[in-house]
Order: sequence, then structure tokens, then C-alpha cells
Amino acid sequence: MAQALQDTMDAETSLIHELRRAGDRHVVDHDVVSTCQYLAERTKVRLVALENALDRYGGASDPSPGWDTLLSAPRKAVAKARVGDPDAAVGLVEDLRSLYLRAQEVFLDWSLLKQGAMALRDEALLGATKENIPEVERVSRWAKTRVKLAAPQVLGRPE
Amino acid sequence: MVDRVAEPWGTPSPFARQGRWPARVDLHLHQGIEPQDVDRWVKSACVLCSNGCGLDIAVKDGQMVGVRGRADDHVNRGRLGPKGLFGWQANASPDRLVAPLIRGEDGELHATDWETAMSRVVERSSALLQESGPSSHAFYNSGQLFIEGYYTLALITKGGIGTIHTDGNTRLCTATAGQALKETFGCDGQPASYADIDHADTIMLFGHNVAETQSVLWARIRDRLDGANPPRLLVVDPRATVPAMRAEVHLAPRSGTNLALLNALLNVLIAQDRIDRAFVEAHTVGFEELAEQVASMTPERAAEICDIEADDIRRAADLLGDAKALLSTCLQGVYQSHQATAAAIQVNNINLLLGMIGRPGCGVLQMNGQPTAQNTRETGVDGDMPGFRNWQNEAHMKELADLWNVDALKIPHWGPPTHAMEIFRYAEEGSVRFLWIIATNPAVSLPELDRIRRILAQERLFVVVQDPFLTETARLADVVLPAAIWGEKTGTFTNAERTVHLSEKAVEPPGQARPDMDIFLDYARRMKLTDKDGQPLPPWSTPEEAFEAWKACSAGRPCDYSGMSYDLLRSRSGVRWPYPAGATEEKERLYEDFAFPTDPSYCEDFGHDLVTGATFEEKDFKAVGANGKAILKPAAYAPAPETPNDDYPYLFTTGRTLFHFHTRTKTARARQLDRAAPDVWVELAPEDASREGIEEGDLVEVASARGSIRAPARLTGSRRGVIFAPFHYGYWDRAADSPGTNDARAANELTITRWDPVSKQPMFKVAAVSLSKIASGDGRAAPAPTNTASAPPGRVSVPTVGGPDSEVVETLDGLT
Repeated sequence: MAQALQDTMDAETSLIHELRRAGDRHVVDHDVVSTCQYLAERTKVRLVALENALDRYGGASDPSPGWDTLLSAPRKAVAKARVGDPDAAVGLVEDLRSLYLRAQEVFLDWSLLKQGAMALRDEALLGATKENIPEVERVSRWAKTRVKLAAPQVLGRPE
Repeated sequence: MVDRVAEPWGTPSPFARQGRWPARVDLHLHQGIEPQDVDRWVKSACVLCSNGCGLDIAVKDGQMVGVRGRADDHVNRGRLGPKGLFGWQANASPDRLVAPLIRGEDGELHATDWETAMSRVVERSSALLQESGPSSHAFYNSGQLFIEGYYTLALITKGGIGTIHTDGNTRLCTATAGQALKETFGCDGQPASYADIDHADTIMLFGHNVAETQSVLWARIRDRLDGANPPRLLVVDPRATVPAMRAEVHLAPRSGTNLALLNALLNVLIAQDRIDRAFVEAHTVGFEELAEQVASMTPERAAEICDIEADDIRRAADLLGDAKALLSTCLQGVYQSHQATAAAIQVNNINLLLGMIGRPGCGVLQMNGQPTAQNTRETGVDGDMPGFRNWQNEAHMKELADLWNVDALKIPHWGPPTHAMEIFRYAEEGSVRFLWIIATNPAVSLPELDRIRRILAQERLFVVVQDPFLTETARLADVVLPAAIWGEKTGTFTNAERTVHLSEKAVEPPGQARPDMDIFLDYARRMKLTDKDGQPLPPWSTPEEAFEAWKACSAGRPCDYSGMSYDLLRSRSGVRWPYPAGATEEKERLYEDFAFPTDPSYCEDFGHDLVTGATFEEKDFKAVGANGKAILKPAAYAPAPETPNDDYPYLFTTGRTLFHFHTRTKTARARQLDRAAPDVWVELAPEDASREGIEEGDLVEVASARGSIRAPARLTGSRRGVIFAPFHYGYWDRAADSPGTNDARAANELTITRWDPVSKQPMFKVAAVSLSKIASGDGRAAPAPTNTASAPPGRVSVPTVGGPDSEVVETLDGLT
């Protein structure tokens, strides 16, 4: 269970990273910036819940690879999309696509935690999964909506 | 005779609850013209706000010479507001566009003929379609056209060109109203009607300064307040508006906190069990989630967020809980603020929890801003599909394709039509390269104007502007097409409570100006748009033919016009939809049977996640299980994206004044209206002004991270910490086309490029700004009206009056 929690934390940490990257990169897509900021904040809340659970399963002593280190590390400079560049839209589609896939991974990890919590009759963890799974679904639902809107503008151009 | 600039709402005619609003016919003619001199009275309705007051246009010697309200019209019972009484004079303004303009080699706009102008448009359009496909084209239209023009444009763009990029400036005004209705009821459509004002015992105006946005509607509410058994009034507005002065409870929350306040009101209603549990059980889904969501938003917590008293929130909730017949309305204070859709939905939720919908005096008016905004939504030239059809419903899309005789795949429906802010983003990044702007002025009305001007000025973007005047936007165009306007063409439009009027042509358009529909048809013919059988698309050529086609499109949908005709609309003054084939009576209000259009095969929308705007799919919607019940959707409050900070310690909000509409293209060309509010001002609370050493009339600078404006200060009863400026003022009547640092006056220089995640309506009500004094006003008052929300507190030294040319004849129940 500790490993499963750690895996979920790793996936969530990567998700935060991608949310921040997308927000930093697509500064001129204003809805992407604000939504990614919001979703990253919500992801941090989930990480706290996971950390609390990990405490109870004795995994707290081994925080590697350490999401908190990753979060506090200086954010790598990303190539910002330029205002007048049509290719920025390609980058947006790529980033949203990978965000969606990452959110799906997080979703599956949380679903497995829920299964484990049920098998272990861990009510606290079960409560946490019920609270947080809809939040994770929200990320993938948004990324899917947004990439589906962005893609035709890129893919629909005649060759 | 009444000076209707000094007395904008006219002579009171009080009436009792459930009584009939007395008729009062307002008449204004050019000075020197008497009623007996008028050659013809031409039936129409007003287009200077969303109220749609029935009126007749007076014509003499082929010219408009005045207007008269129609006593037989249920919308206004003869009354007209100041904009309606005086605004028609703009038609004859000497600076109307009378010929097309094209940009020459010298970079300037030059007058030309239609052949040359349209050839330029078609040449560019054809080349880009070939090179980059339909998604290189975008059409940004209006809330000002007629049904016939909109529906023609819908068919041309969706069925002919095949671009998904169409939106109206209704995105700035009414997108949230439509979206909130879709989320709660499954479909757009105003539940209540204005008749409910006559029956209500309680009225809530949430972010809706009705006295200035729909002045004749306020006259109706005021006349109820002055009559027997008056309604109790709750007003939520950061400004001391005229309705707020008459309210039993007035709440002035901090800008951007509407959702916290609404959740607290719901919290009290549920905690005190003042809700209609039987109604909720029988006719709604989602109550448990809603109750859970609002449980933590106590009045105390909301009071802290909103910076108001918890007891005042309780008083407001008591007032709602005591209601026997509650009519709730909202407008831009909700729609243009933070968490717009989520908040507007909670207003629906209040009425649903109280079981107050579908009965006389009970209902919701999710208001519109513009006269024909409703039709932009219905015909689908905004972010919707024609006839309130669902873009995710393949059967709906096939219906459209069959109706138009085009291939279903031709109609872009891989998503909702692109919203305006995204259209401008595509133009900015360079993937939209042909932008046709119709009857709207984004260079003044969109947020962050410096960005908008930069986008429109790009060499690679071909901009067509279709307008009656050389607006700030038109000055940036490659081709300008002169449009005929209201009174110069025939067509229909629908007001905020579903009332349809026919507006007949009264006079000839000036010079070469042409009706919008004719311009669109000219483009379609030149582009050789055809259906599957090679027949011309659109197949119609007259307004009446277009209306007949629209009727067929609307048939069977909630906005059913199929029982109407031009003849019916000529024989009555205003007919409400739904009016299906065979109908003889109109329905005053929707949902009298509590059957809501949430059947998955019938609904217009499957809904959204209110936080991110993520789209729900059919399976998600089916899982909600509404099937004819209304949907109670909860949402959590979150802070606005921009809040006051050390550099920008004030909150900035924009809004309207009674005497102007939009960017003043018409109202500034009517001298009575122009004189009443001749130039921009900013409103400050006296305590903020005194802290900054600012007195009435001093020139101040208001700056945000985006830009700055300068204007004289008006000290008003606004809440502390909030600065207001009217958004009407741009640069077309100034010497320079675009502002320098010292003469910028458009409120949208300051606003933020952010929008609601669900309705995509831009946020005009929440920006952090700084305030500084530039120069003393030497005791001169700011050029703001004194008989509106802009009134200074205390005695007025120079009151707003109109003078002899503002006199209006009012005939009250037969007595002059």
C-alpha cells in the first residue's frame, strides 16, 4: 500500500509539473493559464492527503523521489509561446494531450488506492479517494475538452 | 410635457398587485412638427436596450421625424425610455457611412462602390479558403441585427463556408444568461415574462441596475412600488443605484464575490428549512449536492469574503424565505463578474428551492443586454446552434443538414462555435486571417484594448467591418461596408422575455447603405455557395422568405416560431414564443407544467463542469438523470483572478449609464442624450476620495497592469474600494484615432483578458487598479448625470436637465 501511495504521489507530482509547464508556456492562452494554475493548486491539496495516508502506512520516512523537493526546485525556464506564432497552437495541443494522459494515469492510481482501501477496510483512505477522484476526473475532462477544441484549428488546415 | 432627460422614467402611474399596468403613451417629435403633420406611422420596436418597447416611427417627407410608444404593446404599454425617445435621430446623422470604403496603397480608407468593395472581400475570402480552409475565417457579429440577417449569416457561415468561428458581441452581454438557463433547465429560454412583475410580491435584482439598463422595465417596477400591495425589493449592487435606494434590503458586496453571497443565501434558506421540499423532490435533481456545497458558506463566512454584514445577509435570506411570489433577475453585475455562470445558476437555484417558477409572479429573468441578443442565441450565430440545437446531438445536426440540404459533415460541430475571445486569440496567433465584424465595435468594447487594437491592426489579418458608422474598429479595417439600420429595413427581433416584434422599413437608407441581410446574400452569391443539388445557398432573397425559413428551423424546438407570420406580427403588437403552428394564444411564461427540457434527446446542452468549463458528454448527462426535472448545480466560491494589492489597491468595475448604449455610436449622435452624459467620468466612494485628496471634478488617473485612463472624478455612494467607469466612451469623436497616455478614456484600457470558464463571458467587473490625482477640477462638477446611480450624495448643484428639445408628450390613460 505504501508503494501504491508513493506511485500515486509520483504521478500527481508529474501532473503538477505538467500543469505548471503548460501554464507557463501558454501565457497568451489566458484560459489555459488560469485553469492550469487552479488545477495545480488543487493537486497540491491532493498531495497533502496522500502524504497523510502514507504516514499511516509507514512510508513517510522515505520521501524519495520527493515531490516537495521537486515543487520547491526552481521551475525550469520553458520556451514561452509567442503571441503571433501559429505554431504555438501545435505546442498547445501537444501539452494538453500529455496533460490528459498524465491525468488518466493519476486517475487510475487513485482508483487502485480506492480498491486497496476497500480491501483493507481503511475508511479514512476510502473517504479520501471518494473526495479526490472527482477532482482528478475534472483535470482530464478539462484537458480533453480543451484539446478537442484546439486540435481542429491545427489539424484542419489543408496540406 | 415632461423633460425626459430630467425625468428619465416619466410620470408615475402606480398600480396594485395583480392589477393592469396603466397605459401611458410617450410621444416625441422634432421641434416644430405636430402629430397632424406626420405622413405615416410605421410599426416597429425600440432597439436601444433588451426591453424591446413597441413603438411607431413617425415619417414626414421620407424622413423620420419622431416616435410614439404603442399602448397596445404588453412590453411597454406606450412608454419609451430616453434612448428610445431621442436615439432615432442618429439615423439621419451627417456622418453616416454612405459608400463602401477600401484601404488603398497609401494605407488610407477611400470611398468606392459595392462592386469594388465586394470583389476585394470575395477575392481575399476565396484565396484564403483555398490556402488555409474554412477555419481561417471568422465572423464576429452582434446583438443588433434582425432575425433575418442572423439566420442568413448562420446558414452562410455554417452550411456554406463551413467555419466554426462565429460569435456575437452577445458574448459580452448575454452569454451567461443563455448558459445559466442551459445548465439548469437543459435549454435556453426565458422562464418568466415582464407580466410577472405585476404579480410578484418579492423582487430580487441581483447585479441588475434595471433603472438604467432597461428604463421602461424599471418604470413598471417603480409603479408597482408606488401602488397598493407593493413588492418587497432586494437589490445586490456595489453602487447606490436608483433601485437600491428603493430597496428594503440593499447589499453591496465586494466585486467578484457574488457566488459566496448566493451560496450563503442558499445556506440560510436550507438551514432554516424555508424551502419547498415537495417541489424540490418532484421537479429537481441534485439537491443533496447543493445542500452539501452551501453548508459551509455561513452568513458569517460570506460576510467576511463579501465585506458586508452577516445580519444583512440573513435579512436578505429572510426576505426571500418570506416570499409568496418571487421574481428574480440578474444582469451584468453577475454575467460580467467572476464565476459568472456558477453565480447566475444559484439565482435559478433560489427560485427552484422555493418552488417559485412557472406561476404568476414566480420566476427568473436571466436578462439580456441588447435588443436582439436573444436572436443571436436562437439562430446560432453566437456559440450556439440554430434552433437551440445541441452540437453533441448527431440527430440535431442531421436535422439542420436536411433543412439546409447540405452534407451533415459540412456543418462544423466538433465543438461549440468558437467564442469571441478565442476568435481574437486565433487572429492574434495568425490562424484566423479573415475577420468579418458586423455591427459591433471591439476596439472599444472588448477587454484590454491595447491588445485588441494590435490584433486588428496586423497586416496579415484581413478585416471587414460592416457598420452604419466609421467606428474605432472600422478605422482599422481593410474594407468597410455601409449598413442600413433599424427603420431602414424590415425584419423581426425578440426581446428578453421572448416577445417578437416586426420592425418595418420606414425610410430609405442613406447613400449606398444596404441591409445586413442583403450584404450577406451578395457575399454568398459571389462566393457561389450552393446546397447539395447546386441550388443557391441561402435560397431566399427577401426578409419575409428568410423569416419563413427561420420558422421551419425553429419548428419543434423550444423557441418555436412556426405559428407566426409577418401578417400576424402586423396584426398584433408583440407576440411571445413559443408559438407553434396552429397556436392562437401565446404563453406568458415557460414551465407552467414544471416539465423542463432536460430530456437528453431534446436538450440544447449536456452541461459543463462549472469550475473549469469542461464539457459533459451525453453519458454524463444521462447519469444526472434529469429527464424533465430541473438540475440544481452547486459551485464552490473561489477568489477572483485579480484582487487589490500594494501596486493596485482598488477594484475597478465598468458599466452603463442610462443615457448611452454600447460605444455611443447612436446615442452620442442624439443631442439630448449626448448632453446628458457628454464625456467619461470615474466614480469614487467619498472615503476613498478623501484618503487620496480628491474632490468632485478633479482629474484623476486610474491605471491597471494593462493601461490607464484619465477622467474627472465623481464622488458617489459606491462601496468603498470600488472605482466605476462607464465603458461607452472611445475615440471616434476625439481628434486622434487611438489614445496617447494623456487622453485615454475607454474603460477597457484597464480590463483584464479573462473570461468565465463556462459562458466564456469576459470579466469586466474585476480588475485591480491604482488611483491618483492629476489636476484640480477647480470646483467644476464631473460630466456625469445626477439623476442616476452616478448621482453625488447630498444636494446637486447642477442637476441633469434636457431643456426644450427634450420635452415629451405623455398621455396617461387618455389624459395629456
